[in-house]
Amino acid sequence: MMLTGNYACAYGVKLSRAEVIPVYPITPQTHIMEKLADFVTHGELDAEFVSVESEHTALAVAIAAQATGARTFTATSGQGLVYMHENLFVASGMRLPIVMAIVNRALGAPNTIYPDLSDALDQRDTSWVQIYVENAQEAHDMIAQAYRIAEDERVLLPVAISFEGIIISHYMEPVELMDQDLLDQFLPTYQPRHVILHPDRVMSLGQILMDDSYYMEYRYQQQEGMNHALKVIPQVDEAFRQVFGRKYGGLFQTEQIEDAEVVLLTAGSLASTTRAVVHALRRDGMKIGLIKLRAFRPFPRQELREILNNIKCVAVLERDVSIGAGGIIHIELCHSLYGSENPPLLINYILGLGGRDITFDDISGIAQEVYQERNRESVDHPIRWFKVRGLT
Amino acid sequence: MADLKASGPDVLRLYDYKELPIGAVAIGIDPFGRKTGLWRYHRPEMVEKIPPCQEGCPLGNWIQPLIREIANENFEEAWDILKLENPFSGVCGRVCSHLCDEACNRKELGGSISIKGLERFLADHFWDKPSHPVQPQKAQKKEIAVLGSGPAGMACAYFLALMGYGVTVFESKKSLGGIPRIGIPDYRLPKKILEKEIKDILSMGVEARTGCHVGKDISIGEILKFDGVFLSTGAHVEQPLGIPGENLNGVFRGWDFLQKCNLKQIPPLGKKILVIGGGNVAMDVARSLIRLGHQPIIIYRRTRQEMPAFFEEVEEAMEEGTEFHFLLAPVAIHRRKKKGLRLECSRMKLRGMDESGRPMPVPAKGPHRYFEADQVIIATGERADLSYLPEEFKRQNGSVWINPWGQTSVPHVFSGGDMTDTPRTVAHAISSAKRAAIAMDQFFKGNDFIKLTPIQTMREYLGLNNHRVEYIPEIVKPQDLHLAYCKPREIPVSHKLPLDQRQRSFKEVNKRLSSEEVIREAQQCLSCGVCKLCSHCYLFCPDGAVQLSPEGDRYLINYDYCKGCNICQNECPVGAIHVRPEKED
Amino acid sequence: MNNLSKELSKEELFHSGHPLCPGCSGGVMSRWITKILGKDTIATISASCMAIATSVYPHVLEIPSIYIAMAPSPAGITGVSAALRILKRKGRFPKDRKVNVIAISGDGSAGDIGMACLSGAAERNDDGIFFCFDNEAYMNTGIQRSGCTPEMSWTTSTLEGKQERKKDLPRIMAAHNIPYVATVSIGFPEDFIRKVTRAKEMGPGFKYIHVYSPCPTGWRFPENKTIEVARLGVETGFWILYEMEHGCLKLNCRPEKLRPIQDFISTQGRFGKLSEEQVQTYQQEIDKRLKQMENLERCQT
Repeated sequence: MMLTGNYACAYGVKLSRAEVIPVYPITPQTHIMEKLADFVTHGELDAEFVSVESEHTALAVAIAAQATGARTFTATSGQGLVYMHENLFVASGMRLPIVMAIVNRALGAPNTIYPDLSDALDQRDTSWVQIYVENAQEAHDMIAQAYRIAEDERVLLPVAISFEGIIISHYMEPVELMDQDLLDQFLPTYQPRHVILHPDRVMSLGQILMDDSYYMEYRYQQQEGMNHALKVIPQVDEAFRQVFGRKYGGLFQTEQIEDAEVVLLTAGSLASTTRAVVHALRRDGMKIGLIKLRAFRPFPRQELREILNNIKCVAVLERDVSIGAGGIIHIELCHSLYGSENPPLLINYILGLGGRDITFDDISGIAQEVYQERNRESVDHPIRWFKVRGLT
Repeated sequence: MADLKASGPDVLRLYDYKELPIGAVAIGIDPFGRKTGLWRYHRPEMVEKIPPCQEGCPLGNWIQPLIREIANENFEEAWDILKLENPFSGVCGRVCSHLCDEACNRKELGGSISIKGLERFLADHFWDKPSHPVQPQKAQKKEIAVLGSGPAGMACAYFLALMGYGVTVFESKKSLGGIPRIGIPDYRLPKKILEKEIKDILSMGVEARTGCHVGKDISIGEILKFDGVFLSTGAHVEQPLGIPGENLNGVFRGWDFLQKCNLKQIPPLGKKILVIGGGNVAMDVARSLIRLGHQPIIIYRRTRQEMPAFFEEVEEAMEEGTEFHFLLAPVAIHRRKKKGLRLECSRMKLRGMDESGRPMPVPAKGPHRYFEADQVIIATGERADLSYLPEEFKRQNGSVWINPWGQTSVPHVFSGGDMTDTPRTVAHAISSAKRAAIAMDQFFKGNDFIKLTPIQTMREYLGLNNHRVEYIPEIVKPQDLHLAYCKPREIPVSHKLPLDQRQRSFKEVNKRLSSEEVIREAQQCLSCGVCKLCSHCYLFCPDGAVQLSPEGDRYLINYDYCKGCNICQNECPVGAIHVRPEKED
Repeated sequence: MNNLSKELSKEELFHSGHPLCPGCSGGVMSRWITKILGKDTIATISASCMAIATSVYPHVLEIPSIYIAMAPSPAGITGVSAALRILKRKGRFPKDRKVNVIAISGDGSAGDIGMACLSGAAERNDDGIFFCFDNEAYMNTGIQRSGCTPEMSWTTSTLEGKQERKKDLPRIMAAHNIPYVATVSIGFPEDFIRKVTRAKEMGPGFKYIHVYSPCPTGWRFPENKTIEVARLGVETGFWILYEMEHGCLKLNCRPEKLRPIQDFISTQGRFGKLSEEQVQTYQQEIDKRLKQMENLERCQT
């Protein structure tokens, strides 16, 4: 079917048989909500569709419903995501496997509906598993995988699937829908064993600790869940491939890095353009490769260290920034590579904020610039803001 | 609940992160919890105090539980409680002055509870049901003689039989009952009530010998041969006025007249009859005369306030048409030329107090007043006849002397009722009989009881009044009660026979209340100082530390958790919870 | 009040040993609520004094409960009832088993920070009973002023007395046209029990019950007077007890003769510094408000 990213996501939710769907509309996520309302009204999806009055409430409803034992889904963007920030911690602290679709949108002020990854990346401390997808097909498939990852007993953490607003969410592309019967086998019913609000089992969720006796233990449990996710994500990716034939590489996807001297590391829709650039420049003889980072949380530290060990230079291209520090993925990557034997030179390109268009030529230019600097020990400006009018 | 063990952030038993249930969750509840009782500075304690009605009743009726059972519609239980202390509820419910009503705290809060009405209702309600004795004990091998079958004598027989003794009652007249039988007219006490209650006493195995006069039919020596004796021959000897003309033809004595009235042997009477006196006897005489179609005129030497007769009696006598003249004392009775009598009276005024504490009447200046009438009936007081008693029996003020237990100067002989120096009411008579019966039981058991405080009630003696909570022997006053829950008083309308019917017949004047009225009345009792299981303490405790006992008869405070907020004490309507500072360890 | 405890279940579901202040109305309220609603209840608690009683070790609430955050306890009702509906449809929960879904929230959580959430849940008419535990300030954080603090009341953030008026939450909720709105006071147990039972037995829909709860710690009165103050509040007209079933207003427990407001004010330290004039103004306000409510009741068709 020809579907936009939003609709593809909605189909994914429908096929995954989500049961309670509290949503609040916000551009560019609205179509997910509308499509799901459509499915529920016409009986294609048997679910409770709740139109809530704010995103904070949406996640609170999701928490309450998931705690009662129903599979929940919600979706939001930008301002909405930040509005529900408080409840993100609550959801992960209670180990509720909620799946949320974040249709990335830049944060105001200044307000805009165009995408960048800052909104989701800003939630990196909330203990949610975060996976960034590059197109509508991947968005569709990842919803199902997200449920399976989240509900895995070793993980039991909420999962956010992020894709850029407008670029992915509003542009149509051909999407192959998952088969419902196959998916029902791939994704069994949610049967919680750890947390359930049921009158026969007295349970008090959301403890208030009046002293310092247990907080660290709870947090460490979440860390363990995340650690397990490092294994579970690739496992689920492989399982998915076996059933549906499509694979995405797990924690990250690599492209032509076997003998690369320069690697372009990116996430989201930029990966599509970068892939094309890499192929083109390879034909020109440049030894260049691509790593598309999928799982930002858990950050695949060890895996990236191993792969980037003998690379000369890594350029991190990202649509986000942490003002005062640099690109977020770049910072995390630095942390991962610290202490490795032969770390590559790291250069960070902050580009495309607020949805500024990044073309094939832009990336090609960046790649060649980096290629020229690849043998240096260090560079003057490792953090580079790209295409800012007035900045050279 | 106790089996749900808490699994979660237990601060006392710190879990490893591996053992901790995931999800910031606690499963189950801790059965022991936090002992918040340690927070207390003051502790509430359940206590029981004395309701004023129980203190006021001479014969010690157990009034609070009686009313509570009626309020809960348990008439059987209420009847048992009543029967325990009083075999003559039907009589008392009609003729007692009801000091309990007078003492009731509700008097100032809308009007006393009509305990009299409740008592009478129960007696009438169980009228045709066999009345079984309460808590009979096993048979003792002693025989006791009771002289006189008035309320004192029959009550003593009842209590002794209750305790298992054999009793024989000796009565000089042909029928049993004493003053209630011969002296109180039918319109106040229908005889069938009295007969039924006497029959119930006899059915406990008490023997009665009527028409048996001590000194004539049986000697005092034979009486004294019994293991124990209770003297209750009452006070029937009329005291002379000491005025000329009191023995003329047409001058009658009050008791004599009433007796004749009861036996339907009334002498021929004229229209106008003067009645001298201000007590119940005088009122009974006057009201009987009205019913017989005559016109009585009461002459009394003090004013209405000082009349010893029951207030109600005086009211009803006035309503029915009796004429009253106050502050007049008879000086002489003269015979008129043709027919009839003339009474000469001196005017009186009140000055100072006499030895009974009432204002003293002294002759006032002014001419004497004269009244003309067909007959004169003198109803001014009686004394006891002690002539049959040997000298060993000490006397005092014209009555037989007894110690606080009712024992005379002869050890195995006890006495009570009007022949002793005690207020002349049915309730006091029964009270003295009960005390003497208890004393006799002690005497036969060989206990040295004289030095102890006399026990006044059967419940105390038989150990039925186990105070389950701390007992504070203080009488409750209205300020000890919490009146927020005191609903406005709804006094039941007292039903009386219509006035014209009253003037023509000896039918009972006061009708009884219906069972709905009685229940409503009982529910308005404030239960002063005694827990009535209203459950406020249980309901309002924020900690759930006040719970019903397993037996379901009282509330217990769990001091492990009571924080000492004392809401229970503030909301207890009867004042049965006290607050004391927590003891320092 | 003839032994009301007979109408309540004997089972304690809110046990002793909780850390609420001595004399706390919340303890009384929670005991009554759990006794009336029974074990088949799921509660969402929001940040308030009640959260300390139910979510802190050792736990005393014997029904399943969830604490999300301060604002979203109405969202809890939405979520739990939606989940139960779908689980029943899909057969994972017995269809005929009725579970009461409730939320217990303070006046701050309901009327200030959670106002949007409460309004949304009411507008959606989600199936559940919402209890607003109104102790007229943010008591849990130490007696700060809230929207529901009455005029001229002392709090730690309005040391000279609050200038603004009290937010009338029940009437705000009534404007949402929900099936049932009621105000209750813990000084009137019969009324309380009747209204909560009515809410429980009504068909599905959002029911709002506003519980006027005196707080000895925050209002500055001796701990044993809690119930008495609750009674006085209604007897002086400071609080009006009423219920609105499908929009039909009915005043309850109306005192025959209103006691002067001075009786209520003099019991509490938080009104310690009021002048005569201020008391008079208050009295006029109260009289006016009662008249308004009475007129409203009368004018219904």
